[in-house]
Amino acid sequence: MKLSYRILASIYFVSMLIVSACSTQPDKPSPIPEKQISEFKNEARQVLPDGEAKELVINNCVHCHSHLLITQNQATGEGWQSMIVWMQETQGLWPLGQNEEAIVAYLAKNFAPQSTGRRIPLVVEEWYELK
Amino acid sequence: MYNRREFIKKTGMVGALTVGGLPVVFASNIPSGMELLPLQGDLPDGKHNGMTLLNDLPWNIEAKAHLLDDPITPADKFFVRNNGLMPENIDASKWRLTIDGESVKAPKSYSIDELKSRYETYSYQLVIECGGNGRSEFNPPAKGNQWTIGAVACAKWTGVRLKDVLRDGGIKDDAVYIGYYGADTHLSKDPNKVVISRGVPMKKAFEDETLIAWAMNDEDIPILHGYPLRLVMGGWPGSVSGKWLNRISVRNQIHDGPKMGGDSYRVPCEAVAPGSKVADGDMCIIESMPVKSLVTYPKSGAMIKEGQLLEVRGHAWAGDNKVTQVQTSIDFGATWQSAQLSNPANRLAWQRWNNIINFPQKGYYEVWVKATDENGESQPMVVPGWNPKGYLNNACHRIAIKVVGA
Repeated sequence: MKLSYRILASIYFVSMLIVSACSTQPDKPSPIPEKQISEFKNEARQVLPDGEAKELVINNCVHCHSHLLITQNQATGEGWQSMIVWMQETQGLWPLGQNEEAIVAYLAKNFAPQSTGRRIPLVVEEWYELK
Repeated sequence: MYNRREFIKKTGMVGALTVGGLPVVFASNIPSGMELLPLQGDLPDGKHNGMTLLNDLPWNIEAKAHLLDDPITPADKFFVRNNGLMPENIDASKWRLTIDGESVKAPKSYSIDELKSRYETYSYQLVIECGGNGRSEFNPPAKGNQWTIGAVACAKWTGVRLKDVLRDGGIKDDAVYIGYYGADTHLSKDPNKVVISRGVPMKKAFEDETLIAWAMNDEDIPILHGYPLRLVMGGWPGSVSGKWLNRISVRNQIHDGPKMGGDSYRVPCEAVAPGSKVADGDMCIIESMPVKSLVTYPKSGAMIKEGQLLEVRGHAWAGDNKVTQVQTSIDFGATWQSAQLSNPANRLAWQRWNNIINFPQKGYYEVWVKATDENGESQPMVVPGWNPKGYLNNACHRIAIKVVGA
């Protein structure tokens, strides 16, 4: 998690410098050096699992960051949604419009929370008052 | 979860014939000799409706921790681990137990009445725990029934000592192992296929508490648990306690019945990294189960008022060994408080523990429990060593508590 914040922080600073240029359109400049954008996208194409919204994810996300920021995270649909909102509010991500639902579904399906810890948090079926 | 039984109860229908606790409304219309189909997803008759159904073909059912609060586990809360299909239409008066194998002087056969009349009867409270209890916590995941914590029980068993029967028939000096056979049917319905046939070394077979039992909690053993005869041994994986027992072979080698080899009830002889492939020759048969404990009261999820003292209690057991200490923690294992611990009713019975907890302030807490056995062995806080089939998870049990404003 620390690493992702560091990456996000650096993206934030870079994007602040170019915020006017990177805020609304996918064809605008990005923090990724222009010459490398297609390289980044090709790599993402190889790494990300296939799915309906794969190209949408590549075109909308691998513009301001690489696939690494996607693949190292896990979240529910709600969690991915909130990351998108955060990127829109602070990082200059453009509105995703009608593609948003498919993108969130793709991310929630392929990068769902996994209980990879050595012991998962307790699941309480029902809290009850003990007298 | 939607519960058909509750629904029917509320609608007030009654009937003499029931399936899975349900009345059969048009029972009088059923042609004679016709068998009813079992209900899918429902627990079998005689099980508490809070039990968790893991599988219905064959039956695999576990308890929840708070259902195991009784000192002696009643039948309705006793977990079920079946490997095949249960025998049907049993006539206990015609049941025979055969003792055979390379290491008997001569094969013998007994009716249940002969066992009862020829040998002295003993009763013991014995902990039976499935070797795979806790499997669901291992990662990478292990195949099989995903037991959580409820595949353990301690009932009172009554029968004759296996050693009395074996000695009477006469066994040779080269005897090293016994193996049981039961009357269950393989899922393939192939009558020649043995479902499961496991056993133990002679030393375990000759313990006082190793019984050929016909009663559980002073009643006939329920069919799910082995009616009319079951081999019962406390402290070892439940799979050594053969159900629907009709044959015991005394072997001059380690018993080689189904589920004695491969990954079944065996773990790496030397610890391996999670996910490792382990060669067959590097696997060792599980014998005594590890030290373990449960919080059986309160049920996880209790909310108490600030300043309210909380009594917590449960059981602790340690395979062939005795538990000498039980501790609880409310700060995720940073500090531990000793609990009161009772002696077992007899060797291989579980031991009752209890503690009074005073929570320092409002908030979310977990109560953890940790037992230590007479050899100083204790329970891990996370999961113990990974093994291919996910056996022997004796990680400490935890329950969630909230302390809220008075």
